[in-house]
Amino acid sequence: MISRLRDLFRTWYLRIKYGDSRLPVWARWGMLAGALLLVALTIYTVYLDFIVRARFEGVRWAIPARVYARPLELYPGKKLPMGELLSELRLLGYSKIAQPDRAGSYYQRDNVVDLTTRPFQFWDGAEPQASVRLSFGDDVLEEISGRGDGSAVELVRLDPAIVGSIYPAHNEDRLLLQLKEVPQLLIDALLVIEDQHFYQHWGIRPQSMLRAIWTNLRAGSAVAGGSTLTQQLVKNFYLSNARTLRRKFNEAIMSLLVEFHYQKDEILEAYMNEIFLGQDGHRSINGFGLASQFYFQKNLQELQPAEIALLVALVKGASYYDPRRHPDRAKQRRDLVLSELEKAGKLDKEAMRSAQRASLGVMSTARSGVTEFPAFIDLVRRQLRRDYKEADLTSQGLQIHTTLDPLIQLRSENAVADTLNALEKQRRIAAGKLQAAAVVTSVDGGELLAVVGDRNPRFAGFNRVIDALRPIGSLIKPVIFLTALERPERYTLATPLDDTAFQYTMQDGQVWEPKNYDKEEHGAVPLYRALANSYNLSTAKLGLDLGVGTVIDTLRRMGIDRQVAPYPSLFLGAAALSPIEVAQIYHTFANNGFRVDLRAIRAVLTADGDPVQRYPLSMQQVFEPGASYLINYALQEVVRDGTAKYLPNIIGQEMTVAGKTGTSDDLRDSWFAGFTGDRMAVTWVGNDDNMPVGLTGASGAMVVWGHIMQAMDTQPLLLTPPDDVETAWIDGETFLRGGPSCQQALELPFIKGSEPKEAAPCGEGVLNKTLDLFRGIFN
Amino acid sequence: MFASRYVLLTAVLLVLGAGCTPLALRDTGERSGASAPVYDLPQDAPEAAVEPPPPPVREAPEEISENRATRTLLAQADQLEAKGELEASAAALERALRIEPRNARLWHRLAAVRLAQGQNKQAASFAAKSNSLAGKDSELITRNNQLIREARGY
Repeated sequence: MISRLRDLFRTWYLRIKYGDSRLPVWARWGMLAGALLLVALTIYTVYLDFIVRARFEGVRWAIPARVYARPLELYPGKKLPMGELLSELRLLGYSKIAQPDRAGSYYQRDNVVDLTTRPFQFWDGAEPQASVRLSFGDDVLEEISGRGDGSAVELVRLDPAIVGSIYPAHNEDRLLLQLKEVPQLLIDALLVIEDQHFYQHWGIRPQSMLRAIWTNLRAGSAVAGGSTLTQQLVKNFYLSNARTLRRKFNEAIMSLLVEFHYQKDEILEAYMNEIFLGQDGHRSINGFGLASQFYFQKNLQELQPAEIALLVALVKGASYYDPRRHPDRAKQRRDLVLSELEKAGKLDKEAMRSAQRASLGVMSTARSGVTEFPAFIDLVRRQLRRDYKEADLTSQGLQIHTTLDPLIQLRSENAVADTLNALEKQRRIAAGKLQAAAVVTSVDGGELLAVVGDRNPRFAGFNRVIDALRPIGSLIKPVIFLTALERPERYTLATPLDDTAFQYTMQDGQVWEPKNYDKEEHGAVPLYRALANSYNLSTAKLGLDLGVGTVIDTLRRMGIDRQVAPYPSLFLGAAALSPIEVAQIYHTFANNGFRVDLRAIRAVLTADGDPVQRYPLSMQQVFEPGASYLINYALQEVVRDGTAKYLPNIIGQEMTVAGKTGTSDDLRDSWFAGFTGDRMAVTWVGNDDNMPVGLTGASGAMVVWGHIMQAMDTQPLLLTPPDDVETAWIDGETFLRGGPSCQQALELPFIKGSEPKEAAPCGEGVLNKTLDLFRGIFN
Repeated sequence: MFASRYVLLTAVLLVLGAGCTPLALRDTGERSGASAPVYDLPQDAPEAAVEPPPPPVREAPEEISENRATRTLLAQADQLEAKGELEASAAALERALRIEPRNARLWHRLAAVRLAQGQNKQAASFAAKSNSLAGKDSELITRNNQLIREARGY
């Protein structure tokens, strides 16, 4: 090509110099200069062409990964108060209309909800649109029937709420649309208002440009646009908004180039995805798909004429006509768009009138983009980073299906905020001083249902759930006791532990002298009471007996990889862990010794809904059923008659739970971890500057925990003893085998064969001796 | 006319300029295929093959659950398994387990699918989990223990 150019130049050069003698020499050289200018222009054009194509091919497709909550499953018999369904529908932006026949609409009257769901592509296939009638009883979804034929429906899955996106640094966001997904009325409106000759022109329309220049000259400033859609698209390729002549010139050339390279429909599609339609903090709202979510929280296909007209109105100036800040301006412009549509014959008069009467219908706050759940999204992002490149996450438009339960999340957030406010008032702590974190999981599936990383949960700063490393205090104790109970030949729940003061000299010569919280010694206490009352002296001795290494090994088996210092102070919780790590530990208790690596993600799909990857449920049995049962029995005892015995006053006496309080030195950290039959939660309350908060585990974090559990639907914990566990009567004074006749008799579970053999004097005494006598006779 | 030659030249230059940059617009469908990122999918590595197992006892959905939604999902899982779509079958069972997390027979069913996939560790874990919820159901416990033996290869 270069040589062709060179030949061309030579020919022309010779012609200029020697040929065409009809022209004077200056004219010939002038022509040469002109030709060179043309070359320079061409090179510049090639450069612009490069930019145009790079933008068109690249940016058009850079879509952040979209994060979805769990879908709500509806089936007859599900425990679901109607109010909860309505909250979910609000979250999903379903519109309440009298004839809910289109996707994403519902109507509620008395205890019946009519509903048409949105079709949605899940990992396991398409969930079709369903039009159903739901009948509710007291807190129960009783019946589902098809609205068409009244037939019984067994299972309906709603579309999942979008809870956030994973953004690249420059914070551009869009929801990718294909032209065929765009409602015809939107295309019509766009062409009528912005560019009536779009399908005829070559990218620019000199007539309109000249007219605009004329208007602007007369007005003395730039008021008229006169840009074609192509020009507007090109303009949007630039980040700044300067209106210089050079920019205009560039835009004109780039528009011609765009038209040269691409089909009209491709340009229109790019425009639909690229045009700037709003600003949400640092995030710019690009394209009609996202704008529809941003303003109406609906899919584009669900929009009504009035809403379509408003979006088209915004093209002229998304901030000037911002319907949230300038509703009057926005309405005026929207109505103008509607009447233009009517004039152009795209909308009949009746439809125009009713659309003009409609309110703007804009959601008061944007829900779709910058997440309301930054702590959870942060967790998702970190889990995804193990398997995906950051660039793919921020540009491929992946759909991330997570385990987040938005209803539990919102209630947990409220419980955290309300309890901290109350605690501050009650304890005369400066308002806003306390901080907190909370994690809620399901028990059997190990799914993260809610994550609160800050008392102001919208604040995307320090994520305490993952990054706050705090001494866990007595939360470590069940780990030690479980280690002991795994050795039934040495330890049972009834084994007397020595709760007296002692000194321990460590290898470096330092002396360790633990104390009880109440500064007292309690003498011989049965193992389960030492845990229930969270005694330090007996626990420390038990830990020393087992060995630091053994206890750390138990922690490892529970899924804790972090290095912990192998000192005896570990037994009293000197090790600093994050709330999510504590959740991992307590989930293993809750799940009866089966470890599940807590999951926030269920599946990943491509932007088009093709499955990429599933994160299946997987578990590993790390503790025997017997030992797991015994430790959970002891953890129930903590709530029944131990450090957490106030808890039933919050959650109700009938809600049996197991749990443990934790308090670090000088009351700096207040912890609670525990579980019901189907939910596990960990809460932490403290100060970011690590100053004492003056709260024990029971007076701070446990109260938060109680209010979180109280706010959700959960089942009481009913432990079923495994085959190798049986109960036996113990004398509360001697910890020997007793009977109901002993004054302080108590019944405890034991792994078969590990119950005390020796009978207490009070015990089964009389009856047993008689029985033995008989046995002796008959043998 | 020399003027027309200039017009020609401009056109040639423009064509040359544009010609250096081939048309390369791909539609959406093509794009997702062409530039799909390469993912490393973490997968449960299949373990050593075991003896051909005896035909497993496959319970009908009605025997596993009272819940109609669970039954629907169980029927789905059965169909998918019959088509050889084992992972999808497992996904349907997980969905059922979210509805009835304490149903020991559901856990056994998931264990059986994992075993068929050669994910023996998971199969044994789910069978053990089923046992932990089985209570006094000795028939189920026997089947779970048999599955665990199979999964461990003895």
